[in-house]
Amino acid sequence: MRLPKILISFFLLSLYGISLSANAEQAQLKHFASGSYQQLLKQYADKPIVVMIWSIHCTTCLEKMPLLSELRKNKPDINLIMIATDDVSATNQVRSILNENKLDQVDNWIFADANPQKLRYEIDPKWYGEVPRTYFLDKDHQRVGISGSVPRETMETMIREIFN
Amino acid sequence: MRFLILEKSFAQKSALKRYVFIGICLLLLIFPGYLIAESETNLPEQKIYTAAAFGPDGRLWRIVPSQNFVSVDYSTDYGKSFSKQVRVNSVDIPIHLWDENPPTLSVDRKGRIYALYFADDEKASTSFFSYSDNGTQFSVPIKISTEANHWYHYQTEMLIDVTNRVHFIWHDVRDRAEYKKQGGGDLSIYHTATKVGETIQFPAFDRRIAKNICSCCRTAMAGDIDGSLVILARFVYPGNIRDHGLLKLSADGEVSEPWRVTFDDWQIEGCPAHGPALSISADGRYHITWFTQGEKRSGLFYAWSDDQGKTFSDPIQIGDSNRLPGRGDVLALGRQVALVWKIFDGDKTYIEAMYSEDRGLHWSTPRSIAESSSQSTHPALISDGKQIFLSWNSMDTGYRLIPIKQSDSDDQPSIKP
Repeated sequence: MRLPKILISFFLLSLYGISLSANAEQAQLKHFASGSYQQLLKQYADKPIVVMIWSIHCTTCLEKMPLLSELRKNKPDINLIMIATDDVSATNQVRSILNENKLDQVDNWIFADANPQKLRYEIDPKWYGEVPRTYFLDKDHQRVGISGSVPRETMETMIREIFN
Repeated sequence: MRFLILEKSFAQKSALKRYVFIGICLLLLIFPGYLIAESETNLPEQKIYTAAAFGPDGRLWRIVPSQNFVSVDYSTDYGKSFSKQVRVNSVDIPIHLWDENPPTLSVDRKGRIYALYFADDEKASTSFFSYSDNGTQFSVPIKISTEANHWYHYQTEMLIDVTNRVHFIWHDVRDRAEYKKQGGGDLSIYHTATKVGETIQFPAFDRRIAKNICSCCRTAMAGDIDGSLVILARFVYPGNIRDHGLLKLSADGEVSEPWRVTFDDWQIEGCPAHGPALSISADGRYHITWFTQGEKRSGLFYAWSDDQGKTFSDPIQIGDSNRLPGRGDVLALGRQVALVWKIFDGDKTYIEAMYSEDRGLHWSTPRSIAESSSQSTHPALISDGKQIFLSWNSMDTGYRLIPIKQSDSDDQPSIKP
């Protein structure tokens, strides 16, 4: 009885592996280095933005992905920036997760400095590194930072606020 | 590498997991080249994650990771120079450590050396253990968890108790289905122990000793004077409150219910990635340090308990709250207690230290004893039975062993590396 299931799973897995390989090239994953945060603020000058900071090791972060994907689908004009705090050696895993959740087309970054503390400090000198960490910046880049999973209602309210 | 990660994420969907695993094995058989190509992803630089301990003869033993093996060396001059390195694992394996998942090295009263480290073999990312009677040759590495090949686990801690048993505790995802139903935390603490005789028979038995543990914060463990093992962990309390609790494993193997000891009300559905520390002095006083961003209390704190952790002293806040103090460690030695922690000023990381000579009642002025402009490990405190030292590694300055208390008066300037 087990064998057919094994074969099916093997077949599905092969397909999955092949599709991941095909998609892996699509996700743009920029290197987040010293100065990148200021560069981001300039790039999005006068625009509201949502910055979601996450890690492949953070289960809560991964659980939030479908909600982000849905928000982006329903409101494509939201400037969503995602920053993975994993080392660049995790590039492939980060890409796979983004692809899986159809978040490969957002503005994606990955930490790329031997001293991640420095990068965290440049983003927020008050942030201790807990993830997920989400920032809502209005068009003047006044921001609110929330640590931990942001419930859907809060997410929607915050997005409404930064767009007004 | 990709499939390794896939396997981990599927571990959350237990029904599928076994089939995926079998699928991976089949893939390995049929497309070995494809998988090898996929496994070429390098892990971040591993050499930074050293750990050290003193042996009974005063030698400082150190575990030194590299990308595909861990080695051990020793110093007879308090870390100024080290011996030739001896490999622990003779067969290459990708070593996979991170700051909240460092290796551990222990030396027992007879000078036997125990090494514990995390690595990825073809079946699992898991903890491996080896020992050596004199540091010239190590036993074949073995996996700690009986379910290592089926359920992901990590943040394994090792301790040798007064009865000469070696204990291991770790964070294990194997109860995930139960958590899915009941909620509250992501994983459990599992424990195993074995008597340290002429040879070490590794037990084919491990068991859950605590539930509802915060997944990303490493757990602390110390031996009490009554021979029991005391464990301090960040629990997930109802409402996603991530405060700390203690539990006890008595010498005869009885496990206590955990009880809550910090009441800061840090509500976060996420990863604080910031575990506590615990030390028990020879007079039985518990010393703890922990980090929180709770509603009631926020920052890095220290407290002690004289009733085996039932009640604690008023917490003392540690470190400059404008400089991200964190990663505290505490160690007691006789009446002395030392505290170290990390701060960051936007440019450099500093290790600050303070000490008490009266069991934690009065403390010296905090001072900076080491600094780095690069990536660095969490500070760790170790002792040779006479003094307490900081054991710390950073990319730019390398490994350092620094005494916490100088032999001269308190007014001496900070130690210059």
